[in-house]
Amino acid sequence: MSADRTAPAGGAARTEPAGSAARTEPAGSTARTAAARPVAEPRRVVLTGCGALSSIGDGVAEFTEGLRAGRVGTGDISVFDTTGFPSRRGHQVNGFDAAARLHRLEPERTGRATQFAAAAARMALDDAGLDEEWLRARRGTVVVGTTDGEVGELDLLTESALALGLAAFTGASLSRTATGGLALGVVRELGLSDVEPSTVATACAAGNYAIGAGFDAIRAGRAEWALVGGADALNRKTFAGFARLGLIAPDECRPFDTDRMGLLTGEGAGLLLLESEESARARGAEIYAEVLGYGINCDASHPTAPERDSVARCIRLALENASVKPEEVDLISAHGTGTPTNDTTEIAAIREVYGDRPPRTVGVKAMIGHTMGAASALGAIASALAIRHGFVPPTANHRTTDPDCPVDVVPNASVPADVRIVQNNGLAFGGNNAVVLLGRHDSPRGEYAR
Amino acid sequence: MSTAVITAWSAVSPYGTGRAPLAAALRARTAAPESAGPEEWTSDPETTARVVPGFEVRDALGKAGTRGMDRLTGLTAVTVRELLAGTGPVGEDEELGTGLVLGIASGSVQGFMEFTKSSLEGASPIDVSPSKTPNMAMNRAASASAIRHRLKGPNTTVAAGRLSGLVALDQARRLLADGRAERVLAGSAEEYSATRAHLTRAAHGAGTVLGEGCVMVLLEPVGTATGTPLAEVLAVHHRVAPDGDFAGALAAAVDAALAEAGTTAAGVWAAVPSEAPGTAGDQERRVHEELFPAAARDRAASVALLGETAAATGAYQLAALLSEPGAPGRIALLTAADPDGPVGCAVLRLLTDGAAG
Repeated sequence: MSADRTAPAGGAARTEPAGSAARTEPAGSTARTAAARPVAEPRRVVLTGCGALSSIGDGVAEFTEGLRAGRVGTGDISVFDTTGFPSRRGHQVNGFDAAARLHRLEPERTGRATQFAAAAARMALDDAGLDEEWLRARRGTVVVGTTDGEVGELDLLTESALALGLAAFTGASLSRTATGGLALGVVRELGLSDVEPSTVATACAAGNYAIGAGFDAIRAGRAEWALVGGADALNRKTFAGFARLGLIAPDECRPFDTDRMGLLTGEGAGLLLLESEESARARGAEIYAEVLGYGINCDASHPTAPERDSVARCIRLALENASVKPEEVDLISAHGTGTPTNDTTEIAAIREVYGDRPPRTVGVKAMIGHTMGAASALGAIASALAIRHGFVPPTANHRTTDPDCPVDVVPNASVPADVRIVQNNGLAFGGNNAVVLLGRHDSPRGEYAR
Repeated sequence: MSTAVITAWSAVSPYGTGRAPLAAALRARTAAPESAGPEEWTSDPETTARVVPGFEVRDALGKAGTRGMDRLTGLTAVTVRELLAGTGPVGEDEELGTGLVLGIASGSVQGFMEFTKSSLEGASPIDVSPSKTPNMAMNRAASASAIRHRLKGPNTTVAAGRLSGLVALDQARRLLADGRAERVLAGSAEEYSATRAHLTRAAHGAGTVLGEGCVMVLLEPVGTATGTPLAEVLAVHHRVAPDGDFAGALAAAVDAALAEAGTTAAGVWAAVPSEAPGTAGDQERRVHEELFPAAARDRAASVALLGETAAATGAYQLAALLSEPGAPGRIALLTAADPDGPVGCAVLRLLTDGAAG
């Protein structure tokens, strides 16, 4: 089973109707680029570039070092006024120099989440050893997951409307607050046109949704490359909401800990450059990992609480789609928010699939906070780095593992390990679950040092 | 890509609840009635819009599980209920196989801003309404609809401005083609609100009349559809106009979609533009004039009848095409344009005479 990577995408894929691939090149300007075409056999999809912005570092090198060192990026939030909140702690991206990171987007006319998405996309492109011209020559897809889009801009507009009245609404406000602006911002920053942008707003599982959409597009031949992931910026609205629900930890986020007291909101972006294995090999690209498959489903049960059986079902969908057996999985990058409910339910779901000996299960949110729509994208990057560099990032801030979360959380210090297959979880309000499987790609060059 | 068929559709529109009032009004080319929007923060009692008249979420859906629910979610959930009337998933296999893809613009902007306003004005910054907290997730409308009808398949909320309906249709057919769902409800929704009106008018002119509503279609794989196929989705293509060249990018998108559909502009029976505001709309109309004869351009109802419906526009265009009578097998095309740059095109084959409902 595990050797068969050509299984249909969701277990029920249908064959292409004869003739659909035999179309002649459309006339006009579309002929300039290599049109993506349906392919007879599903293609293998590989990850060749990562862009990361987080409280523990900008860029994949800093992010890697932070994960390896178990660095915790908690600090006082300063991007909005936290006066009067029970706590002001969170995971902010500090020292982000938008003007230095962005070549085309004008920071003063662009919301913070869009700036993050565009900057991380550029990092991923550079990291993959590609340039804009390469992207322009091929049909591509840009999918950015988010929880809040540019809600931070709406916060500012609200303040301004309270102060100024209707004069607060200017001609630029609509574009600036549009959720679709995140993916569009990536397209604008890279000067692209023959590309399909979409912003996926499936809350805190959105990053994995985006990776899944890019995976399917390349696998089926609808796109030659995909820039996918997630981005979110800290904002008052979401901070107030989580605080009101009593979900914010007073000091640190402690996933799976007996004394865990909640999450810490965070911000950042994770963008991944995906392409076909054939494409990566042809250009001699270094491959972080292969995207083996994914699963998405919906609990259809409760607006905010996850459901164990449904999460377990989503994990099984991903394993089946990736043609991976549970015993082949070396590591789980959990959703692990550090709230009492999430962690217990998630571990119960993992044990439902993996039995009494689940693989090491880590919660990187202890280090980077809950980055919302970016969370599972940064989790996927962390998973790829674990495979690439042979280490397991730790669950930081850990004291005592909750007996109701009986897994090896790799407390506080990373460990060297031969990591071949990683499961990356994303669970969201609304019961939107998404699980991505990444695996080592046995490069013909036989080396993994980067 | 293997094609998908639309086997049912429904709506909540300014003409009323369900498919029939919308289809009848579109066939008759009746402009949607204007009425006052809800009373809320920043609302102006003098302002009218093409709203769903008298729509109150809890009246429409009942009191259970609807406390604090925003209007966007209410419009979507009622549309889903209407669409599934009598055809909802039966048994766990069907529940697991049924997905939903909803296109939105920015969620409930009014709800978000009022939540922040409470935080800014309250005695404490966390004096916000717990019953409104679930609305703060932008996937609220899609996930609440799934909860109400046990739709346990892929549940996606996609934001692409005025292209949201078209992109939702595309993502839904991909979920089917890739075997990730057995059937998918796809469409897009927009709520009217005072703040959305201010945002839209500041961007597109004080005279802009706003609309709202939701249209959803049921999409099934062509080979395994259980319902009567109403239309086959032959192609969807979208891209981004560089530097304000909407016409060039849209023409390329139409070319690509027609090629994927295996037809030409001359084969198009009806072509419906998205009536984008400003230069995007001017260029969109120009592309239609260059590509399609007047007969095709005038064949189906214009979504201008509904006002500026933002994210819901593409779904309303689908409704206009599905409602227009004609001989089975006719080719219908819609284009979409967003003033921020995205443009796209979908091509359908209409399989019935379009006279029902």
